[in-house]
Amino acid sequence: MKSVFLDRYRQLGHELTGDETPSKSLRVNTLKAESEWLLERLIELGVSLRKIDYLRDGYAIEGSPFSLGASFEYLLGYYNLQEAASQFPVEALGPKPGDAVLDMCAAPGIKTSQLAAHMENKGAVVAVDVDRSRLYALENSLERCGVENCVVYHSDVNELDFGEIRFDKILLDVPCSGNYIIDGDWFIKRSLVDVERNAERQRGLLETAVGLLKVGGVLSYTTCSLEPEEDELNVQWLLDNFDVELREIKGPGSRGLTEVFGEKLDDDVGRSMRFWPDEVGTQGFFVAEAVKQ
Amino acid sequence: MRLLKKFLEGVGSSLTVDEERLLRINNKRFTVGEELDNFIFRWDNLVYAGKLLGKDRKLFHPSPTLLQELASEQGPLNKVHVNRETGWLFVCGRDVFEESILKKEGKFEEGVLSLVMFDGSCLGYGRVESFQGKRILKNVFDIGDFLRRERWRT
Repeated sequence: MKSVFLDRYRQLGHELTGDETPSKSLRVNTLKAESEWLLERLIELGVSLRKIDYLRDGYAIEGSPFSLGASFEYLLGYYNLQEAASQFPVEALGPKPGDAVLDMCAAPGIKTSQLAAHMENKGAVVAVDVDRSRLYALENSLERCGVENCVVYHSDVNELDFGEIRFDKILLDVPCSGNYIIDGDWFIKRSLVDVERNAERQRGLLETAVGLLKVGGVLSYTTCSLEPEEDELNVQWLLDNFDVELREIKGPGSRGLTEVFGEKLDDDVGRSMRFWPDEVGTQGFFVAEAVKQ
Repeated sequence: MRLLKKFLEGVGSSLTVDEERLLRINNKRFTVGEELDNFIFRWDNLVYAGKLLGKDRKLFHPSPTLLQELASEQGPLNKVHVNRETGWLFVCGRDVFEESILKKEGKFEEGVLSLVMFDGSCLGYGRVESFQGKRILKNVFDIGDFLRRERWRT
């Protein structure tokens, strides 16, 4: 399937080799540590870091004499290992202290703790995931990072009765096909049938998310898939079926595609953002933000 | 609550917990801020809420958050300060020998609980015991537990 997918990316304007690898990065957990203090501490230990200019708390790891996933500083929750592109959606969504935020497919919880950090542990993050085994990692992450404004449910989000509750912001980081940058066997495991199946499931989650959003609230739809069926085509479906407007996303990636394999989409879909590995040096990623009217 | 109070007394802490804000999910104890009240509506699916204080088993097992809060307390709390090397051995599950301790605060006598501190951060806690005629701090909990939990589940 490798050639099929690479040919699709070529049609979308990108000559990828299939061998790209992402750089490693970390995020300072501002609930527990100040950046300057932590950086001094890590540099003293021989870690080489470079600030990522489009992220508030993100640093590229250029070298380390030890495993950064097993240090005092990691275990004490002073930082998280989180790929740069995956830090971007919360950064763009910009949750504020006091907001009510829903994290719909929350496990393993790296972005949940990032939401809490932006909110300075004030307001509420409701984190939901259907997979109990992945929620243990989320619980550990919240505990290690000192998150105190989060409620976690093990459930299909459709089976929870939220009553009158509606959210200021929703992070919908949907289960997706992923991308080959972070999974060496990706081309062997994936097919276009998978992509279609995932896209359909994602549309169901989008519908639920819009229903739980306040008028004027912002829905962040994000995937780590490069496949347009899971990205721009789903955003087009969202625009066609709900009273939402897309918010322009500014960042290091490309504008969302407005023409996919010969199919013309609304110009507004271009307000979303794509992270192509050959452009940004991260894994593949997609972010769109919709404001409920 | 009884086990939590017993633990706090054991380390010499005067911390008080607002019982009105306590919440129990299985064997885990949390305190929940008022802002979260409206979002707790489905008990059978709830797995985590607010600030984790620790877990009740036969004894109370404090969370790292509670330990760090205790470590920041002023007063006669039992603490031992260690260097990075001793601290790392402790985080790997080892006990702390008395001669490896750089500084002691509060009590260090058989049976008492004491926090293990490195560079202002709490790495866990232990109980003072005798071993081959020497006093050691027997590891009860350390933050390396986060890595062991992940390994155990995978």
